[in-house]
Amino acid sequence: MLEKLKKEIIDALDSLLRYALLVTGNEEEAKDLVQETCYRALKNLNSLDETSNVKAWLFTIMRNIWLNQKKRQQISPVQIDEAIENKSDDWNINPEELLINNEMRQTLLKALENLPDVYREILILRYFEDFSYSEISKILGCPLGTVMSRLNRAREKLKENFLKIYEKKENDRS
Amino acid sequence: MIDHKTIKIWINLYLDGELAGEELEQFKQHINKCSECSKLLKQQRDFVDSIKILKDEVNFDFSDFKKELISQIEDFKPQRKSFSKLAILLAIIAVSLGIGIYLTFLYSSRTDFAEIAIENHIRQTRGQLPLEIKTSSEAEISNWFSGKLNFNFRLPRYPDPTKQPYKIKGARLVALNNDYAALVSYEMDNRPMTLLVAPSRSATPHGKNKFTFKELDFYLDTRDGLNILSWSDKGLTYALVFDFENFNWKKPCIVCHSSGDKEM
Repeated sequence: MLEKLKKEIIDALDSLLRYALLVTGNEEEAKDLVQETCYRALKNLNSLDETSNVKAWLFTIMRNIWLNQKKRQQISPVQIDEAIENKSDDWNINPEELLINNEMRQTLLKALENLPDVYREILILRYFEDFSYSEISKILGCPLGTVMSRLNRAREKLKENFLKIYEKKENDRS
Repeated sequence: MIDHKTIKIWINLYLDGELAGEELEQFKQHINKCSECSKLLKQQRDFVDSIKILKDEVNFDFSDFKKELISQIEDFKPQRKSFSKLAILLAIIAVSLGIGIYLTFLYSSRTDFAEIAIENHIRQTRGQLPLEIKTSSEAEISNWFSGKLNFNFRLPRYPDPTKQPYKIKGARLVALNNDYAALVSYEMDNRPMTLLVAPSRSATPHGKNKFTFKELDFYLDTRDGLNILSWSDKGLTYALVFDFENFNWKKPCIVCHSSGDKEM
């Protein structure tokens, strides 16, 4: 069991490091966070059963450590509107274009980095790490409905941020 | 008939793989018929794919850190926490128990010795513990105890017998901690006084007031109107019980602990 867990932790290191880097915005903090996560995971092996999703469990541990470090009230004071309704449908940039256009990718990344923590983390969990809604619900410790509504809101916010930055750049050029 | 608003919500669930069963079928049917929703689905898919592409944009080079961390993970050996905790707990319990037993023994022996000394004194003065040897001779008493006790006890003679302030009445054996102790009966100023003597290993001097004299610690206590003066010397513990006040220390103590100028 220990050897299996070790392997799964090692396999998840890149994901953990990426998530840590995006939530902390600091390489050293990200390293510390991942190291502490691995240590706690190995130490608390007994709390894990054979059927557990180790990667989701690692993310839960890391998020809890991070929240404790930042003190929850500092991370979640963002007033978020959990309304499900989509406000903007306009996305006229196709992925191919994005793949070719490095500047556009960087703009979208900047838009993602500028999102409030709650939106940024849920997008990372869903689209970078491919966690299901149910797994995200466990990692974030919130109901499934909240995951759905928050994801919708996060996507809309990302679009909004991106278009703002993108349009501003376009205007600056012209 | 499903409205467009519902389909808009379902688009994201569909793209995230969270739409299933009948809803999934209804969604597919609607998309096939509705060009507007089909266009929305394409836009949203492009957007989601764009987000996914960003994953590779998060560049970091933590190779050294990763190497070190992987090594730490591979070398990790779980501490036998429960065992070590249990061992520590057992050790603490054992030590606590040992200390407890020791303190209990110490305390009880002190208490018992003082109490037994008082009890013997009371019973002796009431006639419930008749003297086994009646004599005023220290030598006779010492001889009588010889062979009867598991310790050497000799009653010393007063330096100047003509000035002896007390009168020896006799002695007997009394029980103490599954063994025998020596009880000597005196009379001083017409009041009874007893001396209980036992090995220090089974009796400890004890009293609320402590004072040191001639490098010996003396303890004085008062219980039930009786004074108990106890001390240890050369492997034996003594308890002198008397009921009179204004006790003149130098009178009896001079027997063993002073000679003329060594007074309390």
